[in-house]
Amino acid sequence: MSSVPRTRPHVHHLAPLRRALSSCGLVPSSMPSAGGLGRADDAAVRPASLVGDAVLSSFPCGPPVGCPEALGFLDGIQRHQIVAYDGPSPLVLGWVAAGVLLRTGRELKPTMAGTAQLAIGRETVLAKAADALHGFEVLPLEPPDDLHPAHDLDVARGMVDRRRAQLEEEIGQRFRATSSAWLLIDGSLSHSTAWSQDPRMLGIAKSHAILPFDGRALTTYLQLPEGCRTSLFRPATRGGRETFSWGLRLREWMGKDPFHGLVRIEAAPTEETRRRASEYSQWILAERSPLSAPDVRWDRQLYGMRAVERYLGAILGE
Amino acid sequence: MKQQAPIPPIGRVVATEQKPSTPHQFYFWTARSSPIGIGAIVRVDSDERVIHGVVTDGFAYSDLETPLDAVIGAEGDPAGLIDPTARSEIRLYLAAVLRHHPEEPLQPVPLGAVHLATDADVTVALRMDSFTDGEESTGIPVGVYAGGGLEAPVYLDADFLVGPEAAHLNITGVSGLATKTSAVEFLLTSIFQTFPTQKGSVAALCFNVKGPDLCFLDQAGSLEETDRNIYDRLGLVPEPFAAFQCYAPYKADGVNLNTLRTHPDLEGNTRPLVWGLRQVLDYAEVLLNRDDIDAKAGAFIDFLAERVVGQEFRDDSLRAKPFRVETFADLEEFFRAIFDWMEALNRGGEIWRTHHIATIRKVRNRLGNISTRSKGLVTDDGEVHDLPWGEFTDRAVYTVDVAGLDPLAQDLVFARVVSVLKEQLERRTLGVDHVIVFVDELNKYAPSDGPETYVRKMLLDLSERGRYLGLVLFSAQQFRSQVHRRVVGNAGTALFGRMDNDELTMGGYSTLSAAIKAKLATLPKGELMIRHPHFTQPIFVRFPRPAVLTGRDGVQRFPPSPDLPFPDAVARVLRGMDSTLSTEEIRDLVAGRRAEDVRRSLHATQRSRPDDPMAYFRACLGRAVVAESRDMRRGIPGVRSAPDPYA
Repeated sequence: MSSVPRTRPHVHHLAPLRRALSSCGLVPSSMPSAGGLGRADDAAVRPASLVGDAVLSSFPCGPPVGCPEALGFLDGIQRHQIVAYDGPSPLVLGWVAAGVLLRTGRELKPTMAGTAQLAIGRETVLAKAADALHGFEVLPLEPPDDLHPAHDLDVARGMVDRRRAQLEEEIGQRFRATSSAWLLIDGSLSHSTAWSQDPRMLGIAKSHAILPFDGRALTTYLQLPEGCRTSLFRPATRGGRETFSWGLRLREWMGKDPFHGLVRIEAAPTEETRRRASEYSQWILAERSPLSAPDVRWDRQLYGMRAVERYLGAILGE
Repeated sequence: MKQQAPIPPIGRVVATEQKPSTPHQFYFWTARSSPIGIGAIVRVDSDERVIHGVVTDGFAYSDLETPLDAVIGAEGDPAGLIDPTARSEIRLYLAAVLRHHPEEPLQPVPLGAVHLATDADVTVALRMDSFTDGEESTGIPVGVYAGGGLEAPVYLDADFLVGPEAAHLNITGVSGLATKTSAVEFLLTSIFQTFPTQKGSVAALCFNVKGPDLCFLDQAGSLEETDRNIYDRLGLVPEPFAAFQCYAPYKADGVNLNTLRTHPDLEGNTRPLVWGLRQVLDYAEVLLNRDDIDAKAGAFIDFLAERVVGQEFRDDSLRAKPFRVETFADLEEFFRAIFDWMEALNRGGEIWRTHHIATIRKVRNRLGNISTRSKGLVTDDGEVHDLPWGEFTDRAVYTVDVAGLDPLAQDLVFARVVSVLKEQLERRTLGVDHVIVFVDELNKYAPSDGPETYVRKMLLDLSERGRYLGLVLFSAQQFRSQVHRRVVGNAGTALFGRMDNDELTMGGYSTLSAAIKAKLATLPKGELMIRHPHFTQPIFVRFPRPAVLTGRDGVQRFPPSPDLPFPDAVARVLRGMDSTLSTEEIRDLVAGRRAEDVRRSLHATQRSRPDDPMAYFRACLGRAVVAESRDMRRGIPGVRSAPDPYA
């Protein structure tokens, strides 16, 4: 005979339980913010080395202050779609776009943009489809030996991703060739040697698949209060291009999750960066508004970046 | 030769599944800084066709999904930090199609570049090319369309304003903004200066129903530079009406005019309006309500009008001498004779010529009441001063000032004036081919509800049949919804000034967008929305101040003369005809005379306008009959009779 529980389970009424957990020393939270943890396949802890401080600490940055100069936002988007199969092998089309919106005054104006459309597939597929692929960059797929279409698609997706990063870099270089304005980049600077050394570029990483600390330092990193930044550190990057980085909490996260409103800033590894990290953080704090809703990543997404994505989306005909 | 750079577009048509283009409307977006606004005329260029439209609504969108996002973004503090980036926002406008080119096949508006209209575009968009081009243009300037720095003239088609295709104009707007009267005054100026020669002559007759609004149309008012520019743009000369006459009834004393235009400097073209029995009797129905006029009373009035008044009437049973009924006084004498005859018959004397005594008494009371209630307009003595029937002149304005009259008397004036206009236009004896009649406060004279009155029937008839005769109604009111539908519905052209919000909620405005209504509710002075048969959508225009003196300024510049004692008032009237006359001499002349005699003589002199007014007046007055008093003689005492032996 089954016994009837005293309290009925209820998936939505968790507030009393959260309060109880808080008194046990835990931090009440909820599901991670969209995209905050990055792709599970990439998730790892790669300990970074601190710059200056012996222990990872948090510092209030001060009130938000808009960047006093013209400020550019560089971002890119990518789309892909299977359009045909040759036996088990898919033909994947990809579209990538990257661009810069430059803010002068309070107005964002498109400054430059580039697009590319890709056709990705195994050699045999591309050969058969050659006549139909005018205007496409044809990229042969080098997949694993097995012919599982899911693997092909995964590799194709990676190729689109890399082409987008490449296009972003090209656009960034073109922009820098014509303008010395500050440029905020969506993502890490360490992909590019030029970017990682540019004294007027800041990278904003919203995804936290790679965590720079473990143990106590990780707790400090993830429990960073709103409006505060961490000590500077050198992230351990695969590319090996050195940057200075720090965590910055854009929004109150208590009751949500540790990644809510948490971004990682990258800048050139210079003395000036060490000196002005809080000032740069104030600029970025100011970019919390306007809110980039309805973007699901609104807690970390800067409005300027979202504007670039919408602009590029319109160019791609979305 | 230097080539002009093409004007860049200010927007582009956008059509989505949710907001598609149709043959009658389309959406377009513009930059935020675009000069487009509600009422702006635009041109859409595409490869295959050109479309003109007028903006009827506007929308602004941001990329926000809910207001909550804005609150979160500002952290709940409206006074917080200003966003470093202005949120994305677009301007989307809805335009109603004015014209397609080519017009067939009629298709949805294609995607294309949107341009601000030029002068030429405005002409085409409003189909004004069909009546302003060529030697026989029938365009009447009504104002300028102002949009995006452009001031393009807008014309009404005289064939549709004054007839015969359509006619009549109605103007609606709240009071006190100097729009309705000013617009009509300006439009009359425009008509008089541009009325097509081939259409003949035109005059205007304005009923002044309140204050001194229409009493100074012959006097120049002050204009600002902007007004003069609009006159220039429209090709008009800002000047008052050269041919103007103001008619007003007398006050009850019969010598002081019942108008605010009594300044001595304006006496030259200020005339009395006085009617007698004949003029009134034909319009008895106006003055007597349905309860008064039953079939029997009507029959008796008709009998009086056809058999008695204005002719010799003989009835030996009443008296041997024939009756000659010309005045109310004569009529009273006639009634007295009937009653005396009936009384003499004692019982059984209740019928005279099939008319019952009660009916006769009723008609006598009601008609007698007219001369009492309309004293000053209706005279007992038969001297008549009327409008210059048969002598109306081209481009002349006649104001009939009824502002000081009893409402009943106002109705009488409307009814008779319009009826005579109609008769004379029908017979082509008025002197002009077209007459524009301006009536303000139309909701009072042709209300949408209430009892059927003679004036309302007359206005309905005018609005429905007037255009065939050349009789055109320009009417105005605060609330169009309160005016009889057929009267406003027959107005081919409708003007709208600033409107009351409550009025805009009425069904008659349901075709207007919320934005148009909002614009109407806040329309500044000097702007109007126009509906005209050639315009497929309402158009906003700006018009200049009229070049005439406003009523308020007129009263300040020409203060009305104070009412004078009877002898002095008589002297003033005569001196108005001959300034060399001596007031003292006139005073002495009228001293001791009966007021009725003096009035009759004065009116006769005014009507005749003789070379020597004093001599004429004296002749009319006749010799003074000196009253003599005599001692009563003692009568012969009666014969003292003996006591009655039978008493």
